[in-house]
Amino acid sequence: MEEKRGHLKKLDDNRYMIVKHDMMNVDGIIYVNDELLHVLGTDESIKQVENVACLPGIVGASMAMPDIHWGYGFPIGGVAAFDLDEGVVSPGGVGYDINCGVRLLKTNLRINEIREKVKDIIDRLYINIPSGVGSHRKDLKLTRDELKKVLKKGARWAVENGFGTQEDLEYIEDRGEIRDADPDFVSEKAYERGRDQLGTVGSGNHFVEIGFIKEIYDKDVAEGFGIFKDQVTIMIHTGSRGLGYQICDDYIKEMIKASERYGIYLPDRQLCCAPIKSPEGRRYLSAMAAAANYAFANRQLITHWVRETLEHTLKTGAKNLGLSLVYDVCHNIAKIERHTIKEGKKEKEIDVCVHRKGATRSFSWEQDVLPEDYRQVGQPVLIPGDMGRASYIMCGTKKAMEETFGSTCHGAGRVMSRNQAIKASKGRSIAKEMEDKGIIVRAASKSTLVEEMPDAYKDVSKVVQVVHNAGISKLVAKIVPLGCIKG
Amino acid sequence: MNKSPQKNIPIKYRLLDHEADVGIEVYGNTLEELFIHAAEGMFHLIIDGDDIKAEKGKKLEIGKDGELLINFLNELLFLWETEGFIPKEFSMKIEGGVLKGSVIGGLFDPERLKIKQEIKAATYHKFSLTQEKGLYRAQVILDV
Repeated sequence: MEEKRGHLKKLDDNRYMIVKHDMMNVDGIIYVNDELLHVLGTDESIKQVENVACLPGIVGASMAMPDIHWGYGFPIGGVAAFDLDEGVVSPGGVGYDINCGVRLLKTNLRINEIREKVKDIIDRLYINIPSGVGSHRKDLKLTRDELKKVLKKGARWAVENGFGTQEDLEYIEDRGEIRDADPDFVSEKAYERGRDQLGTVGSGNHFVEIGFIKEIYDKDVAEGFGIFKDQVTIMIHTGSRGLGYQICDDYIKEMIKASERYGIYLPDRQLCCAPIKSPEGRRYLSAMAAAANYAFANRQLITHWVRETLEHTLKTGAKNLGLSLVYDVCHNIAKIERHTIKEGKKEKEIDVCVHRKGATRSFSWEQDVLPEDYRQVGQPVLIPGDMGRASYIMCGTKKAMEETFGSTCHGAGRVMSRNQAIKASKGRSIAKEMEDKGIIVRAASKSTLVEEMPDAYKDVSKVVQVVHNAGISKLVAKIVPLGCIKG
Repeated sequence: MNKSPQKNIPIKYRLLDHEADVGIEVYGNTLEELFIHAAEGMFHLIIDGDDIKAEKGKKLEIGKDGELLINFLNELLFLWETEGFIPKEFSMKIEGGVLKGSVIGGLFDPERLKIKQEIKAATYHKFSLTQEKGLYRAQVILDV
């Protein structure tokens, strides 16, 4: 590790550079402070930032956010943009859970109005929203043709079928519908895997959580987002389920062959890729967009059931609850976006394919893809933490547009392996520990609860502090959990 | 489940530590045995309990695009996720990079078994498969 540290150079309090060496085409930049770098230790993820820098057509730098941890191929917390003519697209740079993402709902309720009812709400959510492996709603059966429409229309399909409102769509990244999706590039196997899993949370780190706004850091932006102190919020974290995993697996097989065909050097085979404009590259992007749309529809269906559950449990109408979207962001995605880059002293606009794997888009207020009322403040950036501590609402910035292709961190990042978590939890009841803290947890699997215990993660507060100080997103509000359902 | 080595192999499989994912190191006296032990290791991570019935048969035919072992594990994950199928006994032959054969297993029954976790896929990250003195060894990182 000493030698690798030899290429690491501190740029400022929140950034380290991996100076370009050997096969790297660009430098690496890790947004991290000394404390979090120390936590990384001998982690493989630094090497993974270097590996990504070796891919052809990479623009700017191979970047990583402070929640960086060891992934397969690309590091989790990685951001890399590729030139459309010279660059590549890599399924491993998006991950198996395509458009794993987060949606935040706000309410008109204050914490004191529901504190006594949290347990009832969580119990009811656990019944109404399928979570855990193999669990699904018996009342949602989709034909192949209908599923095809989901892949094409995304969240719009859900709204057209009575699951939500037109207004919901305004507050989703890409309005919940990536236009380039082509369901014909999705394999039969992926259709089969996705058939029964729409409207399910899944397992692992996915959840539906009730919380409330504990602290406001930026009053003006919070107002712009419709956020106030003590407000009750709901956070939904899930993705494209088995359909996305299958699409990733199908295209990795194809990209391994493509990488050989195009003579692309791969430091790790999981980085396999193809030129963006090649038939393989285009096919992957179209299939990936279809999976992303499935994930948007998934979060939209769950939103509908959250609304039903709260109306039923609190015995009140939709108007009183005021359950509406703050925003919905992707954490695992590749997108063609226009960015301004510096070349010497000149600036130029170019279209690039930005891979965000465990990273969040962080667009500033000038971007016309944002809904009208966020054009004064910027894009909400949603950063879930572990189930026991906190989550954060941040806001996109101009500096992110200049430095990180409009990207920032996505969460806490693991610090313990799953085995370590199992060992550390011996003789403890995580559910009981959470309840003692006043957090109600319902999980389909005991091992999920153990692997997801708060100590297994970095403190998300330290992660968001780095991106805030670095200026690539700014703190708006802190959410603390009251209860959650998990897989 | 992983304690009855046959002939030369030190152990059928063992779990490797990985921060975000899970790794397995697998041994076999033959390539086929290595594949079976990898499947056992993977389902040991997914399922709690070993009361698996031999009630359903599945034909297996896996091609050589990419790595055969990864394709094999991902095929089993597909059967698990779409049908709740858990493998019990394999009968298969690997020749010329192609796997042909069948597997008998049971369907998931929540009365007898519990699900430990979801595995998304077997990945190519740090994948290795070697043969030394007649002993096969492989390493696979699973995305969980």
